[in-house]
Amino acid sequence: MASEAEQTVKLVSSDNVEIVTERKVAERSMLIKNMIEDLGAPGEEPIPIMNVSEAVLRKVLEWCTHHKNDPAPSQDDDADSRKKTTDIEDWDQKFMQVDQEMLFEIILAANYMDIKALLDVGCKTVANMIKGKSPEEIRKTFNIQNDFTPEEEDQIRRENEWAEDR
Amino acid sequence: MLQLPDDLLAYISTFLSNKEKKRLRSTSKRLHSFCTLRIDRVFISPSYKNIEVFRAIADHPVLCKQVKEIIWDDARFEKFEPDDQEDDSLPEERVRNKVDFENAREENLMSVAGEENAFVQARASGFDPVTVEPLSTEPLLVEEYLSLDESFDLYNRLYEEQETIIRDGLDVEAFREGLRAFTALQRVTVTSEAYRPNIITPCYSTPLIISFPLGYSYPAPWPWMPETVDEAHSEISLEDIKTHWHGVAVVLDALAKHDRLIPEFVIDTRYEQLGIPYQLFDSPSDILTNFETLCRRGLRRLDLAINTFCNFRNPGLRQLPRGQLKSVLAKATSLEHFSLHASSGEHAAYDSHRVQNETMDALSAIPLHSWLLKHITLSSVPVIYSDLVEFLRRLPKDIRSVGLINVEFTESTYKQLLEKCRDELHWTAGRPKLAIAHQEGGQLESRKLWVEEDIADFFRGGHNPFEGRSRGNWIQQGFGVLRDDFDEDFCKSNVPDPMYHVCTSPGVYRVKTREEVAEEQRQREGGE
Repeated sequence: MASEAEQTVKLVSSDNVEIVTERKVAERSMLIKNMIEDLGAPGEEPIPIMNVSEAVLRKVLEWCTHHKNDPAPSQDDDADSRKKTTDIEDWDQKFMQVDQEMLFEIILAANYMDIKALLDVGCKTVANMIKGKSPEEIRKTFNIQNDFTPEEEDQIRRENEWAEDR
Repeated sequence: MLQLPDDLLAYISTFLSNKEKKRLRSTSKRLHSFCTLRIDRVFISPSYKNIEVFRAIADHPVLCKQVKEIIWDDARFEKFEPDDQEDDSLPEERVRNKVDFENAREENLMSVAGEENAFVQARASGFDPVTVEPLSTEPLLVEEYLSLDESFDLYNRLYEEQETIIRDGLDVEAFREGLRAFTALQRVTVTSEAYRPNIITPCYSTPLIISFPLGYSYPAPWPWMPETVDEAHSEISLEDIKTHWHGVAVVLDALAKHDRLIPEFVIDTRYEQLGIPYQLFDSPSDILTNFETLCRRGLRRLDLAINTFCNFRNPGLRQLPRGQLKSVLAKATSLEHFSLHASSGEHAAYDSHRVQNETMDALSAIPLHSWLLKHITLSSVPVIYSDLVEFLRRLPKDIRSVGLINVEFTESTYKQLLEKCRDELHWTAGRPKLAIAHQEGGQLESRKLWVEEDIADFFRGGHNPFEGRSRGNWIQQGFGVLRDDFDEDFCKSNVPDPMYHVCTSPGVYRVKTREEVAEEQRQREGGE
């Protein structure tokens, strides 16, 4: 039997394409890791990744391959420490240079496959696209319709005054 | 973006500051619905604007549960007479007038190199206090600078409003409502520093300050320095305290009467020469009774700033142990976090005379063993070396952190103090963490050199950060970091420019010769 480092697993995308990858790579996804542990025989049974298409799954696995040796995240990553850091390392920044549709697909896949580090990179990328833009520029960037009445806009303006900018 | 589910949109918003959230939630109903503002602290003062926002948050079903801290801005607008004729007969006691107002505006302008447009732009984007350049490179905002008359009228309106609110008790009423509404409240802070270090980059962006037009230039209010107390007067009446320390008095009263303990009470002066008057602790009063009630009910954190109005004739700090302070503090049997800033008032006399006259008693006013102390900071408390060592020796065994900020002593040096802590107090296992901060010459007043990690290194066998060319009282170059009392993000290492300096031994730097600099330049260019 192959050692754990050499083991491969078969993943099946939502459009029914089988992709073989290293177990270590696939186990960046907590969803897959738990399924392997539950199934008990890695490599034999194909693992369905029902919500993720082949193109997105390949992209996600590309990220997992690059990050397969990253240390496990610490338990102390609390919500507070996340707030201000939107720094993204260079490789991840380049990885995230995709069209908006693919960006949101990656975020959805990372969320579904439970890959927290990838989810964070995706969300930080979106946050960075929002930063420094006026409401109108944000609408333009993400194709959002302004559906507020003038009264609602007034109310939001008032609420915004309540909070400091920090 | 709208194809993402609400929980992911909400998660994305956790990576945004309030400034960015405000823009995002202004784009559409859906984005507004999940993008909640983070309001963990609220402000109050005798101002209709601050009270209106305070009340709105208290009434909001979601936001009211976020609030952990109320900050009472105790700075007060002063009376300025419209008459611009100076009254020379009573120069000390006269009410300030429009000329004084205009002078204060000139000072504001000087902080941005005298340019009115630069003032407006700096208020819009902040400015670098060293280079006095606005931080933003946006085009100048022209014609927005308010005239003297406009600014004067606005200021006087705010003053009148403030006096009405205090007279009618509207600020106190709102504060009491807030205590009931903010169910997660942990801390009440009373600050003198909302408008400091200057009105362009105020310490706290209260709703009132945010609401000012960008071109509004006015004298920055700074409280707690009544003219009734100066170097010739050590007397100050209870009524004076209630008038001039309005926020402190009403907050203590409301907290003592509130049915839930708010565990943290902070007087925030940013180490400035301000605080509550030491006379408060001289004799019983209702304010002191309220303070005692707060202590007795289980206060866990207390940051105390006491103004000793210290000078040669009035060694105020020496009075403290003779009054009620120690017995009142001893009631706080749950206290874990204590900070004492002993300012000496406007007429500070930093010299050995002050140290020798006041010191021993000041430390003996701290009832260390009545508390469950984990963290202690002493700031601007003058001490005798041997007393300080004894005080540190008496700290509880499980103390976690000790801070000494601008603490002066004679007879010994910081170098020796650290050796003592290492060799006799055995602070070598990472506990307690000792932090020392000093004002550095040639820097902005708000900037201090902090040394903490290097002290821990020294305790583990590293170099003493106070050992070098000086006699052992200065943090040597290469050790510690420069921080700003008003700017949390400011952090600069204490290393001279490596392009022109070379480290010859720990803490000792030599200026490179012209030849050395040129040689390195050649090598760099060769490498490229």
